[in-house]
Amino acid sequence: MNTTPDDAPCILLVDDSPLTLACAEEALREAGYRVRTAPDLSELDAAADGQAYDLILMDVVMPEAYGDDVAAMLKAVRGLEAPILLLSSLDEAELAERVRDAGLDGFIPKSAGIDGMVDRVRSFLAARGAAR
Amino acid sequence: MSGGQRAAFTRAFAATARRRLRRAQDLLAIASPDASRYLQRELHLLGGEAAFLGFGEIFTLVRRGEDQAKRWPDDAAMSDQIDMTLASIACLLPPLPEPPPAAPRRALIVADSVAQGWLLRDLLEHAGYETAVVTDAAARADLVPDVVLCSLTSTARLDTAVRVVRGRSPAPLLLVSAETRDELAGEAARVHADGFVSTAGGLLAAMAEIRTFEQEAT
Repeated sequence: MNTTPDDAPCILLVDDSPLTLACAEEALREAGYRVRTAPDLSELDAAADGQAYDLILMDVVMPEAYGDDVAAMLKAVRGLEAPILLLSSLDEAELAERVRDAGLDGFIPKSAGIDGMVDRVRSFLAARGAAR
Repeated sequence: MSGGQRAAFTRAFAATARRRLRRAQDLLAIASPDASRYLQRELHLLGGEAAFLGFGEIFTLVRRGEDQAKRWPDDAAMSDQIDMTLASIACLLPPLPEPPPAAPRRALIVADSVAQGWLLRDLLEHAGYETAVVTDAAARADLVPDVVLCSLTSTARLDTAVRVVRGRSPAPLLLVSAETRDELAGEAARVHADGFVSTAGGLLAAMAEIRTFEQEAT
């Protein structure tokens, strides 16, 4: 049974791999976060509408668009204030460049693994005062 | 994440990765710019999943495959290299879980010849069946059969056996005899058996017929 409290930090996960999405969702829920997932832009559109998130984790290479472009659009056009981290298997140098170009908040390489991702999310949110 | 959950995701990865490799192989046979794009995408997804679940060696190979796919089909020689890369990835994938063992099939053998009953029992047990042998269909057997084999030389006993078996079990009933198929076909039709197996062509051929009948029935 999910006993995550209503005031737990809420994370939006965007990734077109159902397996990655399921793994990350499970791990983050277990770590005490509320999680919403979006496997494509249409779901992301619905998920981003009117809902406040403490963090958005965004894949980069997706069939409809690059995640960094989508993230930049969410911030610039929709005025989304939630921090956005790229979560991708691309090289770290390329991720750093994409983060810088799109004005995002950082990245987590998928090679960090599931536990590494949770650790980095925890550290990131702790630094912003939304720790779990 | 608990060990059980991690194991479940590893199993999911094993299955997903195999599907992605199969799709990649199919795309490799098409050799077009679209196929290259889809192949890169399939490999990119596989790479992300491998990296995330901690299969670093697979991730490295997938990344190599992605680079090769970008140069294909313009560089036709890449096809063989991609093929080798996919084969190497397949070798590193975690094994798929063993399918659960199939429940043994159960056969009731009604034979008025003890020797014929034993022969059929040995044959069926060797093929993985649980068996029970009775010489008289009216005798109770503990086993609830999936199939009933009747090998009875007396017409009267056969008629009785069919009636008793039908009254006790919905399992399909096969006549087994050394008679020719034509002779058996007539007898099977007369007693409304579900099928017949002639041992005239040898016991192994008869066993193959029983298996075929079972597969078709299930």
